[in-house]
Amino acid sequence: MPRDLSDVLHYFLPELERAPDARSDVGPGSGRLGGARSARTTGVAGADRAANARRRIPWPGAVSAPAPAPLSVLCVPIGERDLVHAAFTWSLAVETARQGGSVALVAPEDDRHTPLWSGPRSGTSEPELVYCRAEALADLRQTAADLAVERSRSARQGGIIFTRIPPRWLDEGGDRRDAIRWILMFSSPRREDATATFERIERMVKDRPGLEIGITIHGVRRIAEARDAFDELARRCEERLGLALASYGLLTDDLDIYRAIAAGRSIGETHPDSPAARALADVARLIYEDARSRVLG
Amino acid sequence: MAEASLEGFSDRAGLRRALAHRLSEVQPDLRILAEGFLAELSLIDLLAVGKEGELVSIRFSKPDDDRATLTRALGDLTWLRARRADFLKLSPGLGIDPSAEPRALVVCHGFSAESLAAVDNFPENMIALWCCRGLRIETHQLLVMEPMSAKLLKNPWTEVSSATGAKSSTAREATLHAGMKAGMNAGMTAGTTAGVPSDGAGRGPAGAPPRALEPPAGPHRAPLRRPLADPPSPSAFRSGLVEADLEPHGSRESERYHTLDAEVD
Repeated sequence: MPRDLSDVLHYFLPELERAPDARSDVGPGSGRLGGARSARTTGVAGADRAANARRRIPWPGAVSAPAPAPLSVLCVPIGERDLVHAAFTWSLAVETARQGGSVALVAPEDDRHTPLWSGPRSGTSEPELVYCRAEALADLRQTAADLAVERSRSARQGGIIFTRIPPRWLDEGGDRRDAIRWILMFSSPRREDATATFERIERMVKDRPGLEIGITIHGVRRIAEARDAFDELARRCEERLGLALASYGLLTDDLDIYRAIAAGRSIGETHPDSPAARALADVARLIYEDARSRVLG
Repeated sequence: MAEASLEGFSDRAGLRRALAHRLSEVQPDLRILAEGFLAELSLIDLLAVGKEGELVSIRFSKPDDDRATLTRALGDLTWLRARRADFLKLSPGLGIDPSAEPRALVVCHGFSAESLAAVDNFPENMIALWCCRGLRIETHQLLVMEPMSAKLLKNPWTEVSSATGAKSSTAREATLHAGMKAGMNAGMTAGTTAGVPSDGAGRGPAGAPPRALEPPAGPHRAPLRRPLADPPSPSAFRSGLVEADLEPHGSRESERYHTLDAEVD
């Protein structure tokens, strides 16, 4: 994903603030961003810098306090009856929370009347489940974005806002207001499933350039099986769409998964020592690291 | 009974003998002094003297235990450094140079990305990582060894397949196990693994970079897989799992390794 220095600048600011020039240019009470802008003046001639300091000329766009980077919003296309993918998503949210991330799950209001997110939900690492009165993708995305900003203020270790998107909304075509950037999709090694995933990707990226799509391969018993499936899908996307997929590991074909679904609990909570839970933790780690790297650059 | 974690050898002693035999072929300047030599807390599989008169700790690591073994090898350096003069007094004919810095050689089926990255912080040749694989030909159990790629050691987070002409989309994995398996297969096929050119001090062929532990060159040189912990990279499969993680609880290989390690060490 394209990044530049401005994306990561705030991580360097506390150090720059300690520089005498930075303090003198911005003045007391200035925020970190102001300090950084001032720090950039270190490359300016000394006379100009001194003149700026005397006149207390603020840098254009300087603000008193920086807003923390909002959490990443990860959109997951899940059908209204797709209990398995919903269970994967909920389990990933729980696992991400267990790994230290600030996590919430946003779903359309209509989901209240579906079994997607129902269940005991008695786990200790319970993500916040937020229903949104959304009638279109843009509404859902806006709710998730607002939540991402709100949660970023207290999320010291970053986090993810998982967002359940009805697939038909994605198929309706791109809308600039959507501003969807990051999508997680589940696919299996079965040929028809891989083809369906590819076709969905093809429809999604048609009107949404710059979309980042990650794939988790599920229903496998061996790593090589998942790798082959991912490689095949990635190759098709590269060759036909010019799209590079991100890999988010694999989920196993395990009875424990279905037991967890039946129990309405996270896989990691119901069977923490199972291969399914280990695979789930690995996928959550990959996604969480990716989410954090979006902030860290 | 043959033990998978010992590369098919029935016990550690047999493995050590095979290791010593193989090293005498691929590192002829190494002089093996002892097998199962007790250091501070654990046994050094092979203690040797290099051509510069430096003491060399050689340790075999079971799969998934490379980090711990690497730590032990580093501990060996401290332990050996303090005893160079003692060794010289005890055995003046061994050619030990008390001024030469000890070094370590860790042999394992495959190394984690963390181990590769960690080793890159040390001076050249202080720590050498070699991949190995047991090979059974009829009734004979052999050990095939190959030094880790210099490029991988220099920059363990980056793709090295460009140097090998391999397609990158298939070249990524959590650890280097599978990649090194491929490397081993290629090495055996080419018949070059046992004949890795070396100056005997853990360095590669003449003209290579100082830290060059180059795998054998040639048409069968296999691509090395990229470790998992990279920043997200386009279209490369990622997973931090190994096959043992997908086995039901109670039969995980890694658990057996830890148990066996405790017994051996």
